Order: sequence, then C-alpha cells, then structure tokens
Amino acid sequence: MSAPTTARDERLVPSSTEAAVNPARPRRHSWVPLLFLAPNLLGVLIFTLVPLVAGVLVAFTDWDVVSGLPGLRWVGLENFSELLGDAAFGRALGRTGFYIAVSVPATVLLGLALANVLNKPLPGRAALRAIFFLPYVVNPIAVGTVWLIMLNPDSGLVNKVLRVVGLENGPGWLTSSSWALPALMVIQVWAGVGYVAVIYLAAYQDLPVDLYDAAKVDGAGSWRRFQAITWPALFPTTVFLVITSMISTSQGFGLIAFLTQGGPGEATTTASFAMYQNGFLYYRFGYAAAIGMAMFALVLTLTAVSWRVQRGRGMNA
Amino acid sequence: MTLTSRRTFLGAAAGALAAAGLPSLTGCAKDSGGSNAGGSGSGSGVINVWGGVPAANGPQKLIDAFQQANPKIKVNYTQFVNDAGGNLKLDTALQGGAPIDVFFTYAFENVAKRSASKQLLDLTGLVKGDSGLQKLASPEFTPAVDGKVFCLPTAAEPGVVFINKTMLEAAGIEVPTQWTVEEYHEIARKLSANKVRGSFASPKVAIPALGADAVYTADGKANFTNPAWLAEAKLTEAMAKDGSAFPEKQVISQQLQAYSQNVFLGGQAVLWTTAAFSLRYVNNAEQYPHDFITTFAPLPTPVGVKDAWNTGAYDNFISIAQKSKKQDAAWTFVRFWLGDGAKFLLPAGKVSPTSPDTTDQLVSGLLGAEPEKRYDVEAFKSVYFSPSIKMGVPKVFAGAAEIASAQTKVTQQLRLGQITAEQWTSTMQQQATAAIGKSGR
Repeated sequence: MSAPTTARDERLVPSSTEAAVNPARPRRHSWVPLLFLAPNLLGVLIFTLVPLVAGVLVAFTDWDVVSGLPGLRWVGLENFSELLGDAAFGRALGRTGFYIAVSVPATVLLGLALANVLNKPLPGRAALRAIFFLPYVVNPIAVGTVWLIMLNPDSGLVNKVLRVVGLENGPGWLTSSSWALPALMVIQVWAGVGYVAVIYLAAYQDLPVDLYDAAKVDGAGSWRRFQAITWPALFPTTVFLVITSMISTSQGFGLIAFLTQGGPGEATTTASFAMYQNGFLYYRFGYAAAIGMAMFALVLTLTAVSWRVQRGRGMNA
Repeated sequence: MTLTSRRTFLGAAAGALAAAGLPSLTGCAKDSGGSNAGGSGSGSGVINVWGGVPAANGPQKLIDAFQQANPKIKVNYTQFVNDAGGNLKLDTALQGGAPIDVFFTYAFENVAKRSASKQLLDLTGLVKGDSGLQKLASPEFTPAVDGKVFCLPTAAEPGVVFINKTMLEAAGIEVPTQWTVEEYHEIARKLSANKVRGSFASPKVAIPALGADAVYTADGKANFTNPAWLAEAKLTEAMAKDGSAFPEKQVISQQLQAYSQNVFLGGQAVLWTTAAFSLRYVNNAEQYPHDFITTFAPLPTPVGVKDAWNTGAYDNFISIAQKSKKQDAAWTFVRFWLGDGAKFLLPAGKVSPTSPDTTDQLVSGLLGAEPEKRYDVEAFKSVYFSPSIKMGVPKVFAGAAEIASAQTKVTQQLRLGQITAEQWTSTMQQQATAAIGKSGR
C-alpha cells in the first residue's frame, strides 16, 4: 500500500505519472493546451518550418521556378561543390567577412560610447536618445536616398566638408570600386549605432550603483571603474549585440540593392546580394538556396563561437 | 524591318481579313486571316491579362474597345513591373495556377525559359493559319523553340538616335542621314562643351557587326575575343576619357540608369540612342519641359560593316497560358492587340509589327498632337520607318542573364576608368565562359 500524499505533493506529480498512478482517471484535458497553442504552432509550421525545409531541399536541386514543380531535378551536392569552386562567390564571401568585421565592432563600440554619453545627466537627454535611435527605424530607402545625396562626389555634403578641410579631391564614394564598400559600412554603422546605444542604456540601468560607490571610496578612477565593473556587467549584452548585428549585417541587402546594385563592378556584391542575383536575376534558385545554406552555416558557427566566448568569460568573471 | 512593305503585305491580305472566321484552337489549319482583329471573335467569359504597361498608358483604352467589339468577353488587366521581382511574381503565379490567360514577356531570355517550361500555348498553327500574322512565325520576328511559336511580338522597337536639333545646329552640324561610329564620336566630341556632353552613351559596335547573338560564337562559346567587342570597348573607353559621353560617375551617383531621358530633355546631352518608347517623355511637356526640337538619325554603323544590324528588336511578346480555360477568348484578345487594338498603344511608343494603320496614322499616334512643336516629323518618318532597318532575334540563351549582368557591371568599370578596353574583353570572356558553363550543367 502506498503512502498517502499531501495536496502539495499532488500538485507536483506530473500528469503522466498521475495517470500511471491512477489509470482509471480520464486524461480529458491533455489536448486543451495544444488547442490554445495550435494557431501559433500552425503559423510556425506553415510560415517557418515548411519554407525552411523547402529551402534546404531546393539547395540540392537545379530548380529555376519557371519550370514549376516538374522542373525540380535532384542534383545532390552539385550546387555545394560548385560553390566551393566559384571564384565570384569566394570574393563575395570575402567582402561579406570584411563588411562584418568592420561594421559590427564599429557599431558596437560607437554604440557603447554613445550610451555612455547618453547615460549622463545631459539637458534634453530624452530627445537626444530619440534622435540617435531614429535612423534605426527609418525606411532603408529613405536612409539610402539621403546618403545618396550626401555622398555625391561633386555636389554632396560629405565631399564639400572635405574640401573645406583642405581635401580637394574627395573620394568617389558610391561611384568608386575602392570606396563603395567603405561608404556602405559608414551608412550601416550610422544606422545601427542608435539601436546599440538604446540596448546598452537599458543594460546600464541594471548596473550595481553600490559597487561604483565602493570603488570610488577605494580610489578607483573612471577607466578602472569601467574596466572592473561596467564592462563585465555589460559583457552579456555585448555578446547579444555582436551576434544580432552579425546576423543582420550578413543579411544586409536593402541598402546595397538600392544604392549600388552590387557595383561598381562587383565592389559591393556581398554573399546576400550574390544570393539575390542567382535566384531572382539568373533564376538559379537551387544555387541561391545553397548560398543561403552556406551563409547560415557560417553565421551559426560565428554565433556558437560568440556564445562560447561569453560562457567562458562568465565562468571566469 | 520593313514596315512599308508590311502594309503592302497587309493590303494584299485584306480580303482574307474580312472573310475568314476564327478557328477553334483545336483546329488551327484554317486561315483566320485576322478576322477577329477588329470585330467580334470566338470565345466568351472573363479573361485575365498580365502586362507591364500601366493600364492608363494604352491598355485600358484597348480593352474598352475590345469589350465593345466583343461584348461576350470581359478582360481583367493586371500590371506587373517588368523587373526581377515582377517577373518572378508572374512566373510563380503561372506555376501556382493563378487564373492568367494572356501575359507579356519582355526579355528574350525569359521568352526562352517560359517557352521551354511548357507553360505557354503552342500558337504555331494559329499563326500560320492567319494570313495577317503568318510573317510573325518567321525567325526574323519571333524566337521559336523546336520550330514552334509560343509568343508573338507586339512591338517593333528599332534603335534610333534622338538629337537635340537646336544644339546640333548651333554647333553648325547637319543632321546625319548615315554615319559611322567614328563620325558619331567626332560629332559627340565637337558638341561637348561646359556641362553639355555630346552623347549620353557610346554607340554599339558588336551587335551591329555580328547580330543579336554577338556574345556567342557559332558553336555557342563566349565570343568576347572577337575584334568587334574590343572595338566597342575601345570606343567606350575613348568617349569616357575625352568626356564626349555622359560621365558614369554622374549616372551612378544620380541613379540615372533608368532615367536617361532626364539628361537628354534637360539639355545635358545632345545625342541619345533609344527607341520609340522614349517618345512619351518628349511628348510629356508638363513633366519634361523643354524648348528644343528633337530630330532623328539612324544608328551609326561600325567602320567597314555594310548592312549593319539594328540594336533594337521586335519585342513585348504576348502569349497564352497553357492552363488557360478560355483559350478561344484569349486568342480573340491576342489577335485584337496585334491588329486593330494596336493603335491604342501608340501613345506608349509601341508600334505593332502587324498594325493595319498607315505610316501617317502611326506617326500621328506616336508623336501626339501638334508634333511640329516638338519634332522634326520628316526625319522621324524617314529614320523610324526606313526599309533598310534590319533587326535580329537572338537564338542562343545560355547564361544570357548572367552575361548581361556582367556586361553592365564590367562596362561600368570601363566607363569609370578603372579597367582598360583589353581588360574589359578578357574579363567578359572569362565571365561569359563561366556563365555558359554553368548553364550547361
């Protein structure tokens, strides 16, 4: 004979165990939670999982859309082996890596610096925060149009300012193979800094004030306080920002499509633009899907490394 | 292109046009003779038409006239943007079984893809059985797949040179009636002064010399090692360097790739190679106010090339969807578009190669009211309707989209002075070879 259970114990027993203990009790409510979850689960299934699986499958075909489903021809790993030998894709990947390697740290560091400033008691601080956040919420086409005017090599504001400071022949910016990618990076950083600053500002609100007070009493300067208290506390936020910025930068397409169409030449053809070109311009959807998968694998690896770094740091901190 | 002789041809076919009846699509051998070019044809119900020209620019008036002549058929017109996204939308709609009966294709490579995908109704029997359309079955007009006709051109768009006559005369230069690319370059150089450039772009050499399949050799390989391509690249390089062509830097920074009319009608370039569809900008004095007369010249020909090809084409291809349940009504509509309905597209600059209208009617429709205020009408007539215009239809499409894209980008670099003409040809040969290789997998 089993020992009697208390009311508390009963609540803790999982329903499956409960059913096993008392098989006579009907499991009439087990489907109810599923019913509530169904609309969301169906949405995820139809709009996320099915396209995801379809995308993976298409990467192993030479589908061109035009031929419809009868035109789906399984080619195995052919798209991936072609990807490995595709010099143009290699260059696009290199450009994407450079784009990420410069844009992401620059955005995060400038965002951190901005957050530091905006966390101080400044006059009109709320308005300043809103102004710096604004580029993040503005439509990329509007952002692109403004920068297109500002970066005009002859009449643009940027080169006019450079002329004032003595640089007569400013860069061609979007019209130059050498400067087009750096110009896009500047726009990317400008558009992202406000968002990073806002996330850091939120993190700043959780910083332990008493530790700062104690550090001040111990004679620690502002750099030392930042090093010993602020940075470790902000580290998880930084990892989050690095990962999300890395993902969004690697997928960056709108500005490139609007401002340069991957040019001049192929100066701004990144992996995501190459994917668009292969799919939507050349109708090589199988190959485009393979590029998508390769990019997914790359971003996943970088994300895993970032998490690993954070975990290691967390254990040491 | 021989539009004058076309009318003679159509005149001879007039009896058949009036007499014959529309064949059922299941029995195509009988000569329809374009009987449904104007009056009521067979079929009934609602048909859905997808085209790239905005309804307000002509299709709506054509549809209204069609429905009046064919009250049993109702037409729904959907405009799609003729770019990558718009074409994909059309392709997926066709694949997904959306109710599309008639649709348009604008790029040759898309004609090939859509024809090969078995989404299009085979029109061969209908066209060959229609004395008014028979000539369209010729490879001179229509790209055929395995000898079958799946689409028909609704527009003849030869390339011509639009010229700012006021500026040309101010420079003491007569309107050329025949010129070589070197003479063109020389004139463009003379016309370039201050902020005005002689030409918007440099003229083509390879297609006029080699024809529509200039990028391929006879055995289907990349053909950029052909001297004609080097000559074209050298001319492009020279005109970019001496400033006789509009600077690429400004084209990119002002995003003028699709807005070259702004440069010509803004008085910033004197010579502009384009086609009749650009007449609508010249006609639109409200949006493009200008005070000069536009005159016309034929395309310049490569040195030493006789009987050069025109870089324009018969295009704006109309097709019937294989899955259409209203194929009789769809054909009635296609026939009307190519025949009596064609005049409604003239304000959009579209001249049907099978239009029954006279040259004067076409000119009047194309140039709008009071054309003398804006155009040198006689020059337009003689240049645009010249019987010596010869246009080709490409027959090879291996890697065509990739090659075209590479050409745009590499030419951009050439015009920016970042590569030489020799580097242009070698890069293009390399990229075209890769594109052709990929397409053959």
